[in-house]
Amino acid sequence: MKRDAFVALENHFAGQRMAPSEAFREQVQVRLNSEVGDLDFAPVVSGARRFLPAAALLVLGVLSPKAGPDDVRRISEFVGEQRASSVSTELETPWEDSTTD
Amino acid sequence: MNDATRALVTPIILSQDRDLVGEFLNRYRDSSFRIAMRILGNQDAAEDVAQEAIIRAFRSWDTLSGVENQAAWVRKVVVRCALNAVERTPNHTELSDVGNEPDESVLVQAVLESLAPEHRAVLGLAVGEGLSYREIADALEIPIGTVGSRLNSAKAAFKRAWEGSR
Repeated sequence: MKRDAFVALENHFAGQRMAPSEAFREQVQVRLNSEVGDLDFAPVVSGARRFLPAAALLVLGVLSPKAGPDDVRRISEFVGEQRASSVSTELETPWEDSTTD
Repeated sequence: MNDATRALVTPIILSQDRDLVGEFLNRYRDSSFRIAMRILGNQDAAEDVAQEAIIRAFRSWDTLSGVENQAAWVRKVVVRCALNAVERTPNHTELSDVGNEPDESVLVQAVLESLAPEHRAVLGLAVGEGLSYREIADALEIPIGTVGSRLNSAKAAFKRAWEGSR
């Protein structure tokens, strides 16, 4: 006799394989390493390094008395500009096909 | 973290010699596979979808660095990729194709594959993965109030198909 539908469904999910294969693990790592090589982080990194002292203070939560809201805004805008000038890697809907695939 | 701080933290992290790929994979590789498996029910298909989703999510590192709940965002990418795969791939198994005395799990999978993709997904996320209504709403991009009704419809559809199968 066939089991209750939901007992069968729960058993099915409980018995599913939960870990990917080793081949998949290795393959996706290779693909991601290749992706990193294609991304151009240089302008972003350069912008961050230039303002690292102020940024470090912010990260540590120890704002310099001299770093007022205008400073934070200015730094943020600068980094934003650097990011905007770098090669765009952002996909608003990354699950949709893009022409670069 | 406010926008100004986030805008600064992201490039600082990128400027350090951290193993971005390793960290990203440790966080999302297995969970992405698991979510894909819940929806697709087939290891090869789940691995293909998980890989596609991981690559797409990683390419969008800039968006990812700005979202509050990164795990939920990656999950949404996986779910969308899985649903795309379901929609472009015919059913692996027709109910009429399973043997006279099929293994129960094979029959359940065939029944799941006979359902509408959105029913398949909500069952996988709710029953298989045990996600909350909030998490399911985020993953499927539907209002939280719709999750309950969609889940009930999916359960009813599954029950009908199960009882109508061999």
